[in-house]
Order: sequence, then C-alpha cells, then structure tokens
Amino acid sequence: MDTNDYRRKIEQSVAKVRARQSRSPMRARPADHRALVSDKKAAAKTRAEALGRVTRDEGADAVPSTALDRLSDPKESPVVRLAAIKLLQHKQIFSSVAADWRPAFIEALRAAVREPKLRAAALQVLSLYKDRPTQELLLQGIREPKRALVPLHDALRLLSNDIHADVIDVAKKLTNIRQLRKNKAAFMQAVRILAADPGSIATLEAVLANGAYGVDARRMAATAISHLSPGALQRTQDAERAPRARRGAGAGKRAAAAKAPAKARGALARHIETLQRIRG
Amino acid sequence: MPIEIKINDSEDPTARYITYAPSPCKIRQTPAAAALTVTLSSQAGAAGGGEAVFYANRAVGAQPTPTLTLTLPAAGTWVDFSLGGRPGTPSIDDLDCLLIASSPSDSLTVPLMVRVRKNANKLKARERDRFLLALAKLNSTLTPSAYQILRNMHVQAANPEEHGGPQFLPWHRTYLLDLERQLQAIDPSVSMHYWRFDEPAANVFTKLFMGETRQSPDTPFLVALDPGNPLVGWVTDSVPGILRSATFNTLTQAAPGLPGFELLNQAETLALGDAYPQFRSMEGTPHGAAHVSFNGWISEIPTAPKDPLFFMLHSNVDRLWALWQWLNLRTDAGDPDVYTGQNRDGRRVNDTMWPWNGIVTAPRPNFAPGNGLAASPQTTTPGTKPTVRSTIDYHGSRVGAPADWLGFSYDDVPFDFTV
Repeated sequence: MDTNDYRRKIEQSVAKVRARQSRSPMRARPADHRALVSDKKAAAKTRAEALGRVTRDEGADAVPSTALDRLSDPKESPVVRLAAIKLLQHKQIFSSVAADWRPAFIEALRAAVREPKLRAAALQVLSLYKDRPTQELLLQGIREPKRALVPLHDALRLLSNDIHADVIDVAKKLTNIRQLRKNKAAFMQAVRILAADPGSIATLEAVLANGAYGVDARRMAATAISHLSPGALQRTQDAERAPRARRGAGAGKRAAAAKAPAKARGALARHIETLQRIRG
Repeated sequence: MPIEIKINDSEDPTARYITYAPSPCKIRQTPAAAALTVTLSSQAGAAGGGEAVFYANRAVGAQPTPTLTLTLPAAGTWVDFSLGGRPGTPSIDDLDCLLIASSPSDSLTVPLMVRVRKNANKLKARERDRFLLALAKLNSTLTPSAYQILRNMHVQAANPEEHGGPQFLPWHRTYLLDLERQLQAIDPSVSMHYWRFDEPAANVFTKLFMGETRQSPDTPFLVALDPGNPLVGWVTDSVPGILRSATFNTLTQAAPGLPGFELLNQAETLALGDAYPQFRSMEGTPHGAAHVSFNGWISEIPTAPKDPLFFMLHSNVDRLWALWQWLNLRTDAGDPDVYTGQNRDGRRVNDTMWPWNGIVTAPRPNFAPGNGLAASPQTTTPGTKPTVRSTIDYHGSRVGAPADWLGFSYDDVPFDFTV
C-alpha cells in the first residue's frame, strides 16, 4: 500500500462529496420539511421522509417534538406513525436529552399498540424496554387466545426479552401441551424460554431425545441444557447417538426418532460438538 | 547467535504482536570481545503472512524501511529500534510474520504477528472462526461471563457516560479495546474486526458468521446459524439465540438507515467536517442509522450488545474516527479541533471514564461493572483507568509526546508521525 496514493484517493472521495453538496440545489429549509410533514394532501411516504429530514436536522440536543406529535396523533397515517416510531428509536440512541422525552415516547407506543399496522413495531420497542403493562397484555393474550394481540410465537418472542417467573410458567405449560408441537415456531420460543429455568432440564432433555420435535427445537434444547448444566452435555450427546435406546422413550418417540432424517441428526450432533468446543 | 530481542520492550512471547504503529523494541548481544553489526529484516512465515518494516527514528515524515542495520555494543547494552506492520500486509495466522536478525556469521528468527482489525467481509474462514470461538467462549465461561460484565456497562442508566456528547467516540473506543483485550486473552491472534455497514456484506450475514438475517420491516427473528458456528451456544440473560432482522437485504445492500435520515457512507462521514464538533455528529448517522437498519436487540442501547454484531458495528464507527484522525492529522488532544469536550464529568479531555475509573458518585451511575480496563501484554497504556485524552493518539503518532499506543490498528488506516 502506497500511503500517499491512498491519502490522495480518500481526499478525492471527500472532495467529491463536498462538490456534490455544493452543486446540489439550495437545500430545503427545515421549515419546508416541517410544512411538508403537516401537509395531509401530500403522499404519506413523502411526508414520512420529510419527517426523517426534520428529525435529522433538529440535531442531538432538541426534543424531537414533531415525530412525537405525529406518533401520538391517532388520526395520522400509519405510514407516518410507523416512520415516527423508527425515527424516535433512532433519536433515542444519540439524543443528549433522551431521558427527557423517553416517557412521552413510551406513552405514545402504548397507544400505538391499538393500531394493527403499528402493533408489531410498537410491541418490539416496548418489549425491549421491558415495559410491564405490555408484558401483561402479552401474557393475557396467551392465557386467553381470543384476546391475543399477536400470534403465540410472537408473544413468546417478545416476552423472552425479559424473563420473569410468569413467563417461565407459561412456557412450561405450553411445552406440555401436545397440540403445541404442531406450532413449531411457538414451541421453539417456549423451549428458548425454558433455558432460564433450572427446573426444566428434564423437559429439555426429553425434547432433545425425541426426533419428533424437529431439529431446530432439539438444537435449541441442546443449547439450553449446556447453559443450565454444562456437565449434562455428555449425556445429551449420548442421547443424540442412541435416541431409540433412550430410557423412558415410548414407542411413539422411538418410531419418530427412527424416522428423523440422518441429515438432521448430523446437524444436531455437530451442534452439540460445537457446544462442547466452546466449553472445552 | 548470542542475540536477544525484546518486542514491545518485553521478553515475554505473549508480547510478540505488533500493529501498523511502531512498536518499541530492543536488541543486544551477550557481552563479547567486539561490537556486532546486525541487519534486521522481515518476511512472511507462510503464504499471505504478515511483514514488518523498521523505523530508524521518530520524526514527522520519517518513512519506514524494509531493513535496518544496527551495531550492538560489545558490552551487551540494549539498542533501541522500532518495528511495525507493513501497510497492506497484515498477518492472517498467529506468528506468521518473521523478524530476522542477521550477522555475517549467523542469524536469529523471531516469529511474531502483525495483528490488525480487518474488514469482516474479507476475512479468511480461519480468521473468522477464531474470532467467533473466542467471542463464544467469552460469553460462556464463568457466571457472570466477562461478556455479561461488558454488557452491564452499556445500559440505560449509564447513557450520559456513553452517548449524546463528545465522549461518545472515546468511550466506545475504550469499550471495544476492553472487549478485544479479553478476546486476545483467550486467543491472542484475534482482533476486533469491523463490519463496513456502508457496503454489502454477503460474507458477514451468513450461517457461518453473524447469522443469516431475514428481511422484515418491523419483526425480529432468530438468526439462522450453522451447527458448527460457535454462536450456536450464544446465551444472553439466560435465553439462547440472537434476535435480529434487517430492513434491507443484508447480502446485496448496504445498511440504509431511515428514509430522510439515511446512513452516510465513508466519504460522506469524512466530509462532515475537519473539526471534531462537526465530525462527532456521526453519532446520529452513520452510527445510529446503522443500529436502526435492524429490528431486534441491536436497535436499542441497553439491548444492543446482546447481539455480537454490535461490536463489529462499533469497530467500524471507531475505524471511521481513526481514518478521519489520520486524514486530518488529528492526534493532539489539546487541540479543540481534535477533541472538544463539555463541562460534565467524563467529557473533558483529562477526565477518566466510567466504569473503568470505578467512580460511583453523581453524576456517574451508582454502579461500575468490571475492575478497570483489561491489561495487554503488548502495551501498558492506557492503564486500568483510561482518560478521554488517552484514547485520542491511539497509534502513538505524536513525535515528542508520551506514546499512548493502545495496541490496535485498522487494516486500512496507515500510520504517520504527527506533531
């Protein structure tokens, strides 16, 4: 590498950007962007982009009141409100006054959960914030499926961001429900959550030993076991090598294990070997 | 040949790791009847291995040379010299760079490594796998794991120490260094490689590396991992897996940021300004814009380090700062164009930084995870309680100033002496 040539290349790339910026037509003023955001006749996508410019231009030291207002307005287009959620998430990362407006953001997100088009985004942020009212809503939806805001696997995934005893209880019950085995995505999330419960090792070992569960859930169970009890890794590997001979495995399980594709068993064996390598 | 060599002023073999900055070294012969003339040179120990160059003196404009001839006194006195990695030829494997000391009668070969942080998308498979295994081990051993302790530093209550001000870049440089040194304690050949978020990274978002990452506007998913990827053992807060989706196609596109608040590419970032107050606005974009190009843990401050991609993202943020510093010769911490502080603890140039300083009284948080910055066998700087100042001249470039060499380089940020 010739460092002088390299410096020149970098300098040229910067100069090119600056030349482009100086050539470009007069930049729209922040007031113009704000006017566009307020213009309900403009396309929602255009207004969402203008909201991005407003939020960018107001810098790190200002409360992003335009985005907060747009998110909080239930009559606002979901496209603009969704953009506001992402922009406010972005602003939380570098705002010097983030703590001042975070409560207003959380309040607006809780309200946004009621809007189906915003629900996934709002729940994602609230669950990362470990928002208790949101967790209660999700738990309620699992206990009373008719009131569920999101599919079961999504609820479990969102709850996995903050494991409490009530979340573990729900996961325990779900892994014992035969019906759930057909809902692979939900079963997988329930197994993930059981990794936080030392009392669930036997359940996890049963999942690992049973080829009927599918390789993804069994791999998840292997990781959970190695986390809860690294010493149990050898036992899990033995289970993988001889699933049909495993103690306690019923006829149905044995048949299912026998049907499990060799490729899947190979993936599980490699997964367990990798876990042992990490611990080794 | 009766010659001894110290790399990084140490006889300890674990100190034999160099970067693009000149490492302080010493050479001597055992006491003899006459002085001995030796020529130092370097060559790769294997195909694609690292190569070193020599610095005869520290002066602005001084160029490294491929060889260096020294006269070793008969009395066995140590003779100083400096060597650094040859730009563009870093190591791939541990100790794949050879330092050769030749005299007319004999020669001595010392294996070492030109260890630099590299573009993750261009790593050899074995470099990638060593990095992943070290990372997985750091997150798996002991309770709480060393990785968990690092995560406990990047939490909401500590936000003013880390974000929303001029300390953002120095604090995260130190945070990365802390992680990197702990990874190197597991495997000394590992570096904190970076993800260039302004370029497609088809080799990063795979089952073999950071995980196959689905595209979704608002819902994160578990990333898919190959059974042989050490990240299959990734557990945070007692729950396995990594929750992440991308708003873009990770294999063919660069991270976009958000409509109206797009991610700046490298040239646009460097064009933010030549003085620190302008340049540090990169905290918003590209830094923040890269975070929110994803859904899941990495999109929020307290959960972001749960995703190992976080550190590769920040390594690129730090690389951009290093590149800006090199381009604009910004290494004198006393110059406000280099660093412009604020009147708050942890933000002035001479302040120590939380949590490494252990201070738990206001305005600092009332807790301080860890026991100071991890040590390095290669350098004693910046010590266990780094200051903002100690992060600025990370290459130890300034002539006549105490070298603050921190022991890392980026593969595309060269070394130059500065005033």
